[in-house]
Amino acid sequence: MLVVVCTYAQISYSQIIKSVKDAQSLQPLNDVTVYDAFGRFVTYSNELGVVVLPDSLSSVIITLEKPGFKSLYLDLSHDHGDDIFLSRHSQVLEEVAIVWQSAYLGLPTFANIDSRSIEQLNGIPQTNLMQSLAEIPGVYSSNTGPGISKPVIRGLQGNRILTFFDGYKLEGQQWGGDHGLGITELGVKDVSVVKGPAALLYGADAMGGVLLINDGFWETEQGLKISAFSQFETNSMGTTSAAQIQHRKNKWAWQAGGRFTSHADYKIAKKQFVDNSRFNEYNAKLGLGFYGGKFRSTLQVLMTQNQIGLPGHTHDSDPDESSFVTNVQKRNKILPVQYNKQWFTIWNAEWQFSNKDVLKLTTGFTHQNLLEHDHKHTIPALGMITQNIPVQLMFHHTQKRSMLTAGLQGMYNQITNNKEAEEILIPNANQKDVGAVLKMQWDRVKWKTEFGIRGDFRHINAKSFSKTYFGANAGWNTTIHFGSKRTLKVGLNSGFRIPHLSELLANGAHHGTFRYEIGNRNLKPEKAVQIDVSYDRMGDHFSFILNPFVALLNDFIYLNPTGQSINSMPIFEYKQINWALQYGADVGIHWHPHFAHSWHLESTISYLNYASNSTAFSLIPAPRWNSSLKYEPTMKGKIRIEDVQLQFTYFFPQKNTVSYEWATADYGLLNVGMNTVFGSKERWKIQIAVRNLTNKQYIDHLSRLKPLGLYNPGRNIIIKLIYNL
Amino acid sequence: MKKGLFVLGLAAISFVACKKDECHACHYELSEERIELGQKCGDDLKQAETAGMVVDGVKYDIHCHEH
Repeated sequence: MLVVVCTYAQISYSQIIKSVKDAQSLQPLNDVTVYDAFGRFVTYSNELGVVVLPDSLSSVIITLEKPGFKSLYLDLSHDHGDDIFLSRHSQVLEEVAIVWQSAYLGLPTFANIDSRSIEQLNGIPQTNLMQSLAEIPGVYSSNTGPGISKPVIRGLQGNRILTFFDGYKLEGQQWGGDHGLGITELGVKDVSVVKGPAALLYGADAMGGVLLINDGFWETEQGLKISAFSQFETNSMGTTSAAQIQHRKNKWAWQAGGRFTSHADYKIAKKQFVDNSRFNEYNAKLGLGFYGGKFRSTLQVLMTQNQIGLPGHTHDSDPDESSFVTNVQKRNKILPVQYNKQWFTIWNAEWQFSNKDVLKLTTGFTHQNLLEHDHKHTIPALGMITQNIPVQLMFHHTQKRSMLTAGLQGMYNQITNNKEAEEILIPNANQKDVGAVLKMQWDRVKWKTEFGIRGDFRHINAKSFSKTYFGANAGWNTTIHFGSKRTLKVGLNSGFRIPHLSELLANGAHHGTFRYEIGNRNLKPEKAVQIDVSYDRMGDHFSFILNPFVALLNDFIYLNPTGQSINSMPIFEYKQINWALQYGADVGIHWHPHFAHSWHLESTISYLNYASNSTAFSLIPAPRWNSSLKYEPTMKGKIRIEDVQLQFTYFFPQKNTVSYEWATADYGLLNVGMNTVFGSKERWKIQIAVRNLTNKQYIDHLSRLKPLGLYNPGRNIIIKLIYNL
Repeated sequence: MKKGLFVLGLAAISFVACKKDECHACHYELSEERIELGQKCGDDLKQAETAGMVVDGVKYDIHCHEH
């Protein structure tokens, strides 16, 4: 909920807001984050709740945010007195209503963005970050067992979803259904999701949506921060341990962290185990930051190394479900297996030339080495090295109530096959991207709007293939506040996606998906235009959100079975349809009754479908109804139960399938969790949770093991110990 | 700060991976009969998987993985 505070006086940018306080307890609030009108970080309140606005602030409108409190939207052109009060809330749905994307290095936008903190996503812990994101309406997770999870936004996945980490575009082999992103929850502060086409800000390939992962290093506070956790899961006898340390003294900061996870084969409800669904992973990160008055910069290195079993492999001539399960749970490596070693070097820099002008640079280097071993330990069946350098240069000119953004984005991407690999799926190739964007934003307290245009070129060069593609796009997003409780957001945005190398030039076996794939050099770029409307009413005790959308898709690319096979692998070819209509809605309520103030009831429904006369759309997410009942007791003492949560997720039947796809029956999953904090400073926390409490046998419609008839995991008891300094 | 360095050191130690040769039991199929070749490790393993087994001028693939 946004509250506008207005009295009248002259504004001075050296003005000090003397105290930010809790409206209920009247105590000062520290760590209140201050953003400008365009979502850019400004400062924090100190231990005494004092906020000092820097001279460099050009925007008259700021927002004050703190987890657990309603955001306060402040117009500095009016006198607001010495004290600012923030009211408490803990309604997740209200986070959806935050008008602008909070934090960070990302591009400021008024688009409808769903942001969640990592704590909100892990209220009941999950096995990995991507599965946590499936708590967000419209977002799902496509899994090849727990070791490989891919985000699905409004039914689209793979290279139709762009992922950014601290503003840096992650480009690997995510086109493959069995290729993960290699990004974990290590040090992540929050995640934002843009649903639908978003080419204006993010360029080519942002057809289905965009994931914006923020680790908070850009806004590091003074002092030392240590965070660590250790998690154990009974279903796969999995352990995950992570630690991160972050230290800032005056203008310099550094951070370092590491994570390790190991899981044996996961258990299905029949007390059997899916053979070779085991995996392990190492992650590490290092960062160095400089926070000057006119210049700020961070340099980060992220490393991931994993070993993931590929379930669903058998030498049986007539396999059935029993060919892929085992009575003994194991953890040791067997074939087939996927190895992924990758590291990202990310450099962010910002130059503030004046109160009004800021130049931001994001660049770095990605190296990814993906290997798949099918029947030989030392010789890969498939091996691809991806190396790329993305560059983004953005200039922002800010007036008091408006901002002009002009920028360039580009990338050089190279894919090289491992010379020892037995097979080649796509040839060696490189691609060069260049794009330019121009955007204008206006902020008028009760309404804000933005409009922009963009053009992108991509040149793909491979053996006997060389082609340049061009796409022009635009976007318009508007937010209108009706009083303090009701908000309407409307977005009209276009996107386009240039065919991936695999879609153009594939001609080989892809063992991870058990397909032989044949590309099509004549594919045209996909295009989409989406209207997204979001209406929300936020009250103290009842909130409601309605978010329908409709998108027109042109030249949609899909995989079509030919009915033939090579070496018992079915052959699929890439084809294209003329047009299709995608439509759906997310609806949510939150009830926090006055007479039972410790209780929260939330419920959301997500629905998606296509209108098309073709059979292009497979893996359409089943309609989902997600409800949770949370109890937050008021307790004192050194051991305090923070909350107890009961969550029920119901998936409707999904019979909207293509000819070679299985339909799935409906099912419901019950999850329960309890969070307990220790000590007066609450540095220790223990989470105890059970996922799939009833040990339900089910097959998720988006599971990549669905064609093999393999169930998703059964009951999973999770214990997580967390330490935060 | 000391606490932070201790945690960092602990993390660093826990992520040092010891590299050792992989060893696997290998065999090849000759006239539907499984001929065991015993454990092979490191370079021997790679050599076996690369070169295979030549018997009477016929090359047979050496398999070193579980089924």
